[in-house]
Amino acid sequence: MTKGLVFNIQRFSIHDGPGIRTTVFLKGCPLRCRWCANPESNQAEMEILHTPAECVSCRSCEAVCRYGAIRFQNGSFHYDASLCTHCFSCVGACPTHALAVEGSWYTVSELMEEIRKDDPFYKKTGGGVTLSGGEPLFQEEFTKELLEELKKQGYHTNIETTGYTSREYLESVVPFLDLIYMDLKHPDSGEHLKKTGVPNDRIISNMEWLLKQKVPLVVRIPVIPRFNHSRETARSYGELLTKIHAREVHLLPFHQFGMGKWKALGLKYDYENDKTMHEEDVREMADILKGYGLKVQING
Amino acid sequence: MENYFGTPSPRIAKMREELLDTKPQVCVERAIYTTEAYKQHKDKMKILQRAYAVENTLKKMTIFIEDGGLLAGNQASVNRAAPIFPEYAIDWVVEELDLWEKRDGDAFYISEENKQVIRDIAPFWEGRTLKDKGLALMPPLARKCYDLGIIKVEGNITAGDGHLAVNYEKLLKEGLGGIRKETEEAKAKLHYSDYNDLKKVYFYDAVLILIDASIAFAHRYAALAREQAASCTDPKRKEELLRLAEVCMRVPEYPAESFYEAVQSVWFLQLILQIESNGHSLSFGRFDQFMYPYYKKDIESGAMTEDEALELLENLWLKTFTINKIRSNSHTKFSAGSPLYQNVCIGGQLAGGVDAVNPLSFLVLKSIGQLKLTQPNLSVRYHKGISDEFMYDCIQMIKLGFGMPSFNSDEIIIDQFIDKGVAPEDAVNYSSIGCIEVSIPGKFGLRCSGMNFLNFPRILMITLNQGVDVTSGEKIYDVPMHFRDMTSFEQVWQAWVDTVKFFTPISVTLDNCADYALEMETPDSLCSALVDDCIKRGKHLKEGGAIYDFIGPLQVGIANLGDSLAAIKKLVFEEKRITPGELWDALMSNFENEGGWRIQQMLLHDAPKYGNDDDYVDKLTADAYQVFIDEIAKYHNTRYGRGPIGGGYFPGTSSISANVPQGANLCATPDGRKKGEPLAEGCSPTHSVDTHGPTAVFKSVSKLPTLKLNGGVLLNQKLNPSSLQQERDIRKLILMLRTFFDDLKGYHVQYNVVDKETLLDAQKHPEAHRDLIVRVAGYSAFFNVLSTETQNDIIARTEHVL
Repeated sequence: MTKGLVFNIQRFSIHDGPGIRTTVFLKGCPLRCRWCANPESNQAEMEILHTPAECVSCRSCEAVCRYGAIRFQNGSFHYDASLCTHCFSCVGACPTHALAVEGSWYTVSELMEEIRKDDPFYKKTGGGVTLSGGEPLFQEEFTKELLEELKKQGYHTNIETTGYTSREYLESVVPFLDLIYMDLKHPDSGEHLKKTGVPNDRIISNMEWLLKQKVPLVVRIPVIPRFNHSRETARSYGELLTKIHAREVHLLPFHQFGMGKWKALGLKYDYENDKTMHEEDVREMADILKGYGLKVQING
Repeated sequence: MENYFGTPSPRIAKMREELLDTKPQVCVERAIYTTEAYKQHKDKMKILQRAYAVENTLKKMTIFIEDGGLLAGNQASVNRAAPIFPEYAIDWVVEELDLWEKRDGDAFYISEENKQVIRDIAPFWEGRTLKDKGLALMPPLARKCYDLGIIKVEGNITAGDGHLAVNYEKLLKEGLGGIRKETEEAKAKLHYSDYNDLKKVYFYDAVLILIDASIAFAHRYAALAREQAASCTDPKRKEELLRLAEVCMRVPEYPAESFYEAVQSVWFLQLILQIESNGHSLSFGRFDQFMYPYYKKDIESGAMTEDEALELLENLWLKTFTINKIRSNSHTKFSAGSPLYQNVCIGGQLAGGVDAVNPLSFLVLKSIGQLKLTQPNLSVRYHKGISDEFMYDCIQMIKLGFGMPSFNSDEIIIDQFIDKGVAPEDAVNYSSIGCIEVSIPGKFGLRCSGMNFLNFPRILMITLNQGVDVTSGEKIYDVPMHFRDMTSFEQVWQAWVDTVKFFTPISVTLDNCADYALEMETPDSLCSALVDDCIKRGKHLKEGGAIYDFIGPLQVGIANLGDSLAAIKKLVFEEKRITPGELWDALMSNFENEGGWRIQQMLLHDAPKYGNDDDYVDKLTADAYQVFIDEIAKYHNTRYGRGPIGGGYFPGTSSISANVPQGANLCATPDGRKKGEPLAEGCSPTHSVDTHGPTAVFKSVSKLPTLKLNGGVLLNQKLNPSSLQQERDIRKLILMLRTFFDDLKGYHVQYNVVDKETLLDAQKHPEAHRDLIVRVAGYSAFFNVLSTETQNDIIARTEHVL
């Protein structure tokens, strides 16, 4: 039985598609966006997450680690990922849950059991299930099995994807999708490469193909300071999106929910000093995009 | 922020501001006139002494008409002042006189001169009060549980009952004059030679005294209005005062003929009943239903505009807000924010499932939404057929952040009543009372909500500790085995069953003692005259005059009980990660012994918690509660077999703010809660453990045996204001509520929509948040008047971001 690595199951998601939904966050992503709000989702493997606010420096973790991956220096926690074998004995030893394993393995039927819990709410509100991540199409086999099962049981399905996947695979899952939220982080491939680690040509080509197939698709643009937050970029988006016949766009203003997680993972975060954006900060971009005949919504 | 419902007219806004600026005082007039009457009529039956006391008060108390006010009737010598009701209790009044203004929460002010008045009348009341008699009635074991605070019934012997909605529909149709005629006719049929008839004479006489006193009271205002009109130079105001005088000459004596008269008539009775007794939660009933014919007639005939109706309603709510009550220091912690819980119920259905919402329902929402005050307490009766349009306006009000309206659902409550033997046509006409409780307006007895608080986690700890109360060290009863020596969860379960069987009859005994004393010492005759079938039967409410009569005692700490049992079951007996002895030692040392904090973390993190849609703990919680539900059903209240349908008890979870003081004196508990921390309120999950969002909470709550929880299933949810900014989010919230009520058969839910930052800021800068209102339990209160510990409790509630 294929298993999928899931790092969160969020019930009562109301900004990830129609109605009240359960969003399943899958681990693993081909992109490395520098602002990522879920950096713990990058690796398609279980990871150790340390939350300093919960840590009481009891050093139980240090005592059980046989590989020297955890050290307390001047009373504070240090973790060396290169020495860690992912035995997770430190997590078991942590009394306060300051150390946690990010990610749990689920079979499709185990996941369906969680999803079913909010059935009455989906029915009443026209909701369903959204797969997110990470990149939900990264764990290819599992995601396909899951989508197939969801569709078989009559759930409305949506994915939040980077679109960075093979055409062949995309074609194989499209029949099980009612809706696709696909990100386009930047209209310029060079810029895209700089901040996400990959060029955007494959994404745009997939997007164009999906739009041709008449799959309901919303283009989502995370508006990131010092990256794509400008009139000029908005116009480039407008030109590109009209050319490929996109119709609907969501602008997602930058937020800081991810900051603590970058720290917890011991990673460097480039956006520490940037402020959370609000609706009014992206309204001008929205107006420009509307000028191209696009239907624009701010936030999900 | 712009108010969706608009702003009140300048005169209403001005009156509102004045009331917000008024510091609550204590008024001694009622105490003086009551003492005077009791002395003058010392040879009379209690029921008549009380009638004379109210008569004397209504005759002599200070009356006034507010500048620009359209309605008449004040409770005390100044607005927002709390009268003293010496016949209920005087000991705490005298003891705490000097402390009222120093209280952390619910401060009151009183002049030195008035303090002396209280001290002077106090000796007369020694040994004569309800509290004296109530305490004297308690058998030793029950008294011990009362003294130790294991079962809290202080409110029931230090104040009147309240908790009902009288028959305002009848008042408006027949006037007090009509009820006087009915009483006189019933009295004329009595045979004084028959003992059972003879007893009724005194009740009827009391009713007649009170009806005449009420009419005379209204006439005092008519005279005052005419007097003010005579010297008034503003012709418009003069006309208003003369109109008010006319209205006060007509109602409450005669049937109401206009919306204005209907509003004034209802206000007079709502007021006088709160001068007769200080029992709180005196509720209006289905206001949008019984008032609608008068509204419709005047709007259709053009006699009144909608704006005029709005002003009258707002004036009525301002009047409602002027009523105040002072409670003893220990009791006020259970009812933080000095709430009166005067509930207004709107919406619901008519017979046959037809939506009862009408234009007046919308106008009531608008008027209460414009005022944003703590009183009245607005409840909406939800049902399947209620329109999205009406729900949308309700959510707009919730967005204002003052905790109203709360929702009660017809989809379960009507069935609950029918299950208890209430006639279907009466069940459909239920109304909300006080916080979340329900009864049948005009047909149901006093105190449908018990105000008898049983601390579940505390009694569990007593049984696990072999019958010794951990808080006081007192031995309560003999239990064969200590938790330390238990070897299976079955033994723990048996201990819980034994606990319930032991404490339930004590809880009932305390209620019966209170009720017996209330019946003998402080009958409410005018209130009884407005409830069917008191007059026909010749019995006041406490004698069994009502058609239906149940009491719903309250159980506190439901989530803590369930979470504690789940932690014991899983960690001690299934996974054997700790022994009973280790757990017990950690609890007794408040997790401060060697390794104690590790045990606490294990209890907090590694055991399932109610509120996350986890069957393991949800089922244990429901099963543990079921033990009590089955047990309490075996007992009767003091009206059993004396007339009413019912005469029993049913459980309820409207904990008010009792979760704070009942947690304050409780040791650490196996759910990981530390000593002194608040318990969970109502049926809500323990603070901050419900990590799976509101749908999971709804699912957990729906697994409780709701059909049998007639006393109410209180669920508080806190939403971040950002969650309701978008139109589409509001639509989703409506559908979520519909799912909870239609499909999961939920009973009640209410919302706090204030962000944490605002609350923290209000703690620092109270003056900048003078009118910040929050939902406490089943009611709203000014944040500033709450004690710091209750404030912190509210801040700690999990906030769901949509």
